[in-house]
Amino acid sequence: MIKLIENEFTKIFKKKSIWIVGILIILFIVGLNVISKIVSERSTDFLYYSEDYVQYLKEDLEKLDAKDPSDYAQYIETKTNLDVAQLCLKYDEQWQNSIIEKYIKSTITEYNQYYYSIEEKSQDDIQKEKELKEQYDEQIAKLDAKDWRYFAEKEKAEKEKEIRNIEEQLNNTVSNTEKDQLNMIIEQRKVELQAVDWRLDKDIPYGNNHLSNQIENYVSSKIYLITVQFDENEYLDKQNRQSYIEEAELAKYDIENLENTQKKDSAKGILEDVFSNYELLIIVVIVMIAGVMVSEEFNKGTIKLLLVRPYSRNKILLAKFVTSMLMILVTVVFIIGVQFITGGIVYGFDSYGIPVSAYDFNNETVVTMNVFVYLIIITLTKIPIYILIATLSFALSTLCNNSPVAIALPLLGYMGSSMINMLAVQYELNWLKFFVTPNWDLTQYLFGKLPMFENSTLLFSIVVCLIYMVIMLIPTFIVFKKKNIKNI
Amino acid sequence: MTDLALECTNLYKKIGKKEILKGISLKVEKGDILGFIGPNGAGKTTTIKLILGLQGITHGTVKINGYDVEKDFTKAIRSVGAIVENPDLYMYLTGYENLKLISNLYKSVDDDRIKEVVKLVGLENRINDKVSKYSLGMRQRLGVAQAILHKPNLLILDEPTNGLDPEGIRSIRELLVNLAKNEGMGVLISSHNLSELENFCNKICMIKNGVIIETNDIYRIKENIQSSYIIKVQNLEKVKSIIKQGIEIIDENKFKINIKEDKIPDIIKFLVENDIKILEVKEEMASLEEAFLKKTGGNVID
Repeated sequence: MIKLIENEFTKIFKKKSIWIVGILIILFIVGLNVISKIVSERSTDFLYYSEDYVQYLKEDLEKLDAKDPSDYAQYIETKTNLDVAQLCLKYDEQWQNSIIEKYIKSTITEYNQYYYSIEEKSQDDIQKEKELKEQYDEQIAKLDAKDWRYFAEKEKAEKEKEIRNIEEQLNNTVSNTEKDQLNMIIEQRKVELQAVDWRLDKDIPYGNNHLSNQIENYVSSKIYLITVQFDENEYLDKQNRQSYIEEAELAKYDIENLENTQKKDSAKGILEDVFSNYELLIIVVIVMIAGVMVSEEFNKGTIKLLLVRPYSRNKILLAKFVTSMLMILVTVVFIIGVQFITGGIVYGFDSYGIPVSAYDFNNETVVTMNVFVYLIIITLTKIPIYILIATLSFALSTLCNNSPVAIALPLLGYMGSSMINMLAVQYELNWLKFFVTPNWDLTQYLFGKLPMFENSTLLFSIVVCLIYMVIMLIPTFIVFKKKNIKNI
Repeated sequence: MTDLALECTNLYKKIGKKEILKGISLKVEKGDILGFIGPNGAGKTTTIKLILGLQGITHGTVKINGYDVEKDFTKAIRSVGAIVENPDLYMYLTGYENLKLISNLYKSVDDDRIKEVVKLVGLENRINDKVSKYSLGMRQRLGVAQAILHKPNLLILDEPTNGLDPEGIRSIRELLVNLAKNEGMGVLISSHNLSELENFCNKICMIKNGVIIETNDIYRIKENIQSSYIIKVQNLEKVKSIIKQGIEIIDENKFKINIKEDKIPDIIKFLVENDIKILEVKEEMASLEEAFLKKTGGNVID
């Protein structure tokens, strides 16, 4: 039996096609790493304004007369927009743009109002105009110096003030709905205040850096959780809520511990997501191997030489099946290995020391683990998909003797599986929970997450998967045993 | 243990509604080389597939070395070597790798045995080439090599002479005769070409439309055959006037006559006495073939 399996491996690895596939996988992985590195290094900053827009505003402004009272308001607005746009174009980082929008724009508006005043300027007005000009210059100076703390402090003060104001307002209202409304706003402001506090405490500048992005993630997830009404009786809502909690908690973990566990554009980040990045690749390879396992020997006539050996047909088929299953492992390990090395070369190996973080819903804490421990867990929970698809392919290969069918059908099935799952969830087709595709991805049970179907358990899914395996394998073995080897 | 390497009793095979084999019985004793002769579509390959367990038997039994091939498959097949139809080997492997794969499945075969067999079939210079680069004759030799690798005592060869040159046929013949004689191997060898087999079989079994029409020792078959002789003479007209029946005119000075070998002196004497000048007397080689065609002629592929 072991000799049979050994022979099957020899046959697979002596094929040129397997080496070509291997090289293609390496090229694909290298390409993906290099491209994502290039993309992540290119400034992802989105700038607020363009030269065209400035031109457009200039033309608009020429048509207006600041001295004409009917045009005045329009003129101030256009002029301010123009000033802001021109200023923004001088700074090429997104955070600077957003600070201009947030804080400097109001100064410019006020200043313009005084500067272009139609009425006779009083002494006070002139004084005010001067003060505003100084304030503007100071802000620009801070911006030029990239003194983000100045603005963070400003933001903090603003948020605190806002909270105080709303709290006062709260004391003066009696209507319950209005109170709820105000409380919700306070909560939102508090989240934002927390974010600014983190910035100042942990020294996290504005801009496109990992922790700042995490702060933004945290704020948006938290605000989503505060503002959106979740229906506790709706399973979909519960799942949805969970994903936002997870996002917020993981962001919080990174911020508070100054960690990079959520950083995706690193060797470890890509390795951690190896199954979502390369799942189709894995499926294609295993289907290609399992789908020709039996049919090729029939089509080329070599099966005759195999069947006249002192082994029962069951053993011969079992050896082939076991080989297909082992090849899944080989494929997965190969792809992980290639990604490990490629990622290390492209991004540097040091990121492999960073742990993987996950939110444990059972204990409501963030757990961290070594990336390789994590990969083992994910491999174990993902492998039912590959086993079932390879088995399908293997069964078709034996039953139909047709390699194209045995390769194409499982691939289509895999691609269709996400659609089936989506239908099952969207339309609450509960009977579909006995179908194989909602059950074969065991990652849904990791870390106390809510699975695709309410009340389904890990054991249930494993049993369903096993039943489908048996359903596929029994006819395969029976047919193979009874098969007449036809003349070619 | 019995001396029978192979015993098929009353084999029937039905595929769909069509009966392909209708009661085939044959025996191969150890040391025998049985020629299994029949025209295309007579059921030779099907019989061989039934013997090897490659197809299910509708009715009847196959015993190899006393083991029933259906009930005791692994024991029965252990000491069988076979080529079925074409020697379908793994084209993307070398000859040696092909043999290595097979040797893995038998405990008794080691690398020395592989080398020995390679030498036996005369492939030692090309054994490390890919099989896809082999000619049909070389593949046939490799097929024989894989069949005899584990020293079986029953060898089943389906049309092994296909694609072989006369030299190849001769060396295979020598090999088989040697194996049968020295190692007591029983050999079943099928062909649609009797003249190829007549030199190395000691028994012949003829099949037609799924029925055995004759099983006999080869010398007996030869004995019963009226051979043809072609006689070249100077004055054919005179011959025509004295022998009116039983001759076939071939051209202006040759005629053909069907008689047994021992009657040749008589006919020569008769011709000389009648003052006919004989230039040449030649035995027509295809005689066995013709006898075979006469027996199996009219095989209808249905």
